[in-house]
Amino acid sequence: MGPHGARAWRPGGGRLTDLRLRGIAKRFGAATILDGLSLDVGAGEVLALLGPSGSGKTTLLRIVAGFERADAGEIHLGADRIDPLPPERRGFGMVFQHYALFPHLSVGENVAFGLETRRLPRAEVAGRVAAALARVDLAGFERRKVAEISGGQQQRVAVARALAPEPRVLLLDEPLSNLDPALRERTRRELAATLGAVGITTLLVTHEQEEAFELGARVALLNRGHLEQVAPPAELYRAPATRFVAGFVGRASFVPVEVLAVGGGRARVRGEVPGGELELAAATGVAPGAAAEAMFRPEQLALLPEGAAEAVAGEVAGARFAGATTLVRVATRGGELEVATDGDAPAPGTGVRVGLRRGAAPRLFPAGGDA
Amino acid sequence: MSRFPSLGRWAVVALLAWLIGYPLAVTFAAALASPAGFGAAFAEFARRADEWTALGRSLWISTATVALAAVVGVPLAFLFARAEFPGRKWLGELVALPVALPPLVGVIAFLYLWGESGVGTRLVARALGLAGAPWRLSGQGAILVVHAYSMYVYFYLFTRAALARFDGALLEAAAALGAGPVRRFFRVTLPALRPALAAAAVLTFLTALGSFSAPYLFGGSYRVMTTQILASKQNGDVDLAEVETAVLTLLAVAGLLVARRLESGAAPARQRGVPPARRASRSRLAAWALGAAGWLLALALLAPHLTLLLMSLVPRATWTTELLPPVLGLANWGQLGRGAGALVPVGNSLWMAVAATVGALVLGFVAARTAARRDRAGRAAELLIGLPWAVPATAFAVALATTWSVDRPWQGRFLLVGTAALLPLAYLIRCLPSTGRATLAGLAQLDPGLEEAARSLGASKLRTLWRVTVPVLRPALAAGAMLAFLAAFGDFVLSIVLYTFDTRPISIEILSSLRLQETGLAAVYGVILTALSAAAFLLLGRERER
Ligand SMILES: Nc1ncnc2c1ncn2[C@@H]1O[C@H](COP(=O)(O)OP(=O)(O)OP(=O)(O)O)[C@@H](O)[C@H]1O
Ligand SMILES: [Mg+2]
Repeated sequence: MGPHGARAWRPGGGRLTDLRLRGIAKRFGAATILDGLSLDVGAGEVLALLGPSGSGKTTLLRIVAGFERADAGEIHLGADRIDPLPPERRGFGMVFQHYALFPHLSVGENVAFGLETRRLPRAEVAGRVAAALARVDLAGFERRKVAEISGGQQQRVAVARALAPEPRVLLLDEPLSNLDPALRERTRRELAATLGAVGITTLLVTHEQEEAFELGARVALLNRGHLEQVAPPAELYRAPATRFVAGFVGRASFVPVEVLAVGGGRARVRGEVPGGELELAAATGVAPGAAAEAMFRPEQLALLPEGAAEAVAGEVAGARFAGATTLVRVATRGGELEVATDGDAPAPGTGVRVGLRRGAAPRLFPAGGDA
Repeated sequence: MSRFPSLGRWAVVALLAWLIGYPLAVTFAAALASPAGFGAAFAEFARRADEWTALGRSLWISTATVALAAVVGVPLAFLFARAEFPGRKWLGELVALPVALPPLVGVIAFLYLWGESGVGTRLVARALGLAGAPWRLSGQGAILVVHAYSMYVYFYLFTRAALARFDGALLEAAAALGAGPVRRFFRVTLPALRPALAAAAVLTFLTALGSFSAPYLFGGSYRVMTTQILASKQNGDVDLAEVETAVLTLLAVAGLLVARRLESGAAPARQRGVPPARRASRSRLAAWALGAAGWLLALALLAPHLTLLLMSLVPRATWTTELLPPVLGLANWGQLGRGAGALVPVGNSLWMAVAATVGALVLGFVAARTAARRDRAGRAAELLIGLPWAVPATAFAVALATTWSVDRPWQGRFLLVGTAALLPLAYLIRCLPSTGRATLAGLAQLDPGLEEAARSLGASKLRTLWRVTVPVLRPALAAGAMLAFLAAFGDFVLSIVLYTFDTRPISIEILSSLRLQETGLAAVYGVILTALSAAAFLLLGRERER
């Protein structure tokens, strides 16, 4: 590498930078993949980008990394605008879905790859490689061949390789999707620990909610090229901004209702809901007379004794044992409700009544949103 | 993915078009615009009965070769893929050897073994108590035998590769569904092999269509298109040669297009799982018999080349009517050291083949990078690198001789005929499909994430190419280089049209030795050619397997 390449490197080196995306748009032919979205990742923050398959997560990440050009929009890193730069001059670390470890190089050479362009003394490179491998609990693996280590170890090598040059931002594309479920959970914890210890500005792409919730301080939910909501996990779950978020994050039942009155962020509705009429928190876009759907989480509902008021009648359609609780599906005239119960599920066909638990806060969304 | 800017990609296409497509176009134009008027040469071609005969024979020989090669190659592949017997591994490799040997050498070796005064022929005649040879090695029979001998390898290799990829669970599933062995073969195995068989058939057909050595040496008055072209050219009938070239080229391209159509119907499913286990024969005797048959077969396949070695040790005019040569010695080999010029052809072949291989590697890599992206430039590049493979070498040689025979820089034509540059250039173009397609296949398997990972770690494009792409593609590049070197080093067809005295390669020297009745010296050159080819095969073959 020429001195030019070397100078272009500006590793984080402890200084934290924030990443800001402004109006990023991308089309492939006639299809709009990203619809002018803006997103901030705070300095040292881990932001998880969550979304269904085909929503544009990978595309966005590749635009940030510089492998894909956006049709419009800007990317800023601290005080610099970086979108005109080629990938190798952005100083980002990236972990690929299939790891993309170089098969012709050893584990140590893989990790050293990003340090080579920096004209460091050989001993220092070796030291940094050793430190990077130790950080992911692979001390002493330098000489191993990439093909000779397990999938979980490959994943950790990929993380070590991305972090070794001390990048300003770390990008991860579904870093755990290639692992089997048991290993995935352990590796997720290890990755969370590593990210916590390094404290680097991180953008992580995933379509797994658990992954996003464990790793991300905030979660950005992407749907068909636009952001539905950017919030900490708990807020995303408790106060989903759209029907899509409500349906995508956690389990939920939707019941079509008639809106009687709206005001102050709340609405009164009538329909096949506990008690027949209900007041609940309303999302934007809800209007009297317009079609709307009430959303209930399973733990907001309860099976009530026969004859209880403030309830809706139905018939047990099926049940699924879920450890601490059992999820009972109850068919009502307004659709199916999923109810969490501590006890045993009644036999299918049994008539039951479903009511709201105390303190439960169901929400109301305009109907016909994209789900 | 590659991010060649569009202009660069089209520059690559233009270069390929200039080297490959342009000479063919020039030849077509020249054939059309003959001095006797537009299209007159084509009319002349159509009037002549011998042209139609040659055309028909070319088609017939090619078709029959496909059938014969399949009959030999496919059962052989099944034998080595499915049965277990002593020595299977070694024999399996040995049986593929004819593909590495230069066609001309194979033909000469055949001549020495089964020709009228060949070793094998003498043995058979003696055994039958005949005074003369029981057969004559000439005409279509001889051509077909030699073709089958050298081209069954395509069927053998393709079928074996397909069988190795074949998922044995498919057979078990079919059996569980009640299909017997015959039904399993026709409904499961054969459909899975179809793409491989189709590919082998196309390759064999085109190779046979362009085959020159066998018809040239054995054909006698039995003319096919390739020999017809050379005859016209050597008779000074350049217009007719150009028309014949155009016709043969069109025929080959038409064959290729038909084949593409056939192949596209059979998209090979991505196979997983393991092939069915090899079956060791139940009885000891059967295993032994299979092994013996295998060894006999290998011996039969290697016999021509062993004969070549033997002939190189027979001093001139010492062997007349005896069954076996009465005198053996190194006199023929000694000739190499005597005349100063005797080693020149070896040196020529080496430097030209190496230069052509290196050039074809570089150009093939750039072309494959361009072709890997499926836009318009990419498809054009892919078409162009496939062209020298489909067009018979004789036709290509005539096209190159026509195009590079004048110095008209404003037309993009330079005088290369008679210079030392033309033959290596012809080799290079001829080798381009080997390196280009091998690289393309390697690129198709290359995880694009690898290059992106390198970029994200701060490596520039050039550095990524050098540190990641090329090392990862090394096996593919080695395979391409091997095929390219073998083709260039053993070439006879391009050489006989384009050589000059200063660039005469080994194959031409073999031919002139034969003409001078120096059978021993011809055998010496044949052995050298074979040995160096085998060395390249082993050397690059090992690289390929890493
Ligand atoms: N090179 C391309 N050409 C055309 N369309 C593309 C291209 N790359 C992606 N797309 C389309 O863009 C959309 C978003 O793709 P992207 O890979 O970003 O989705 P994703 O959110 O990462 O999905 P997944 O979770 O399945 O990985 C998809 O509909 C996809 O078909
Ligand atoms: Mg993706």
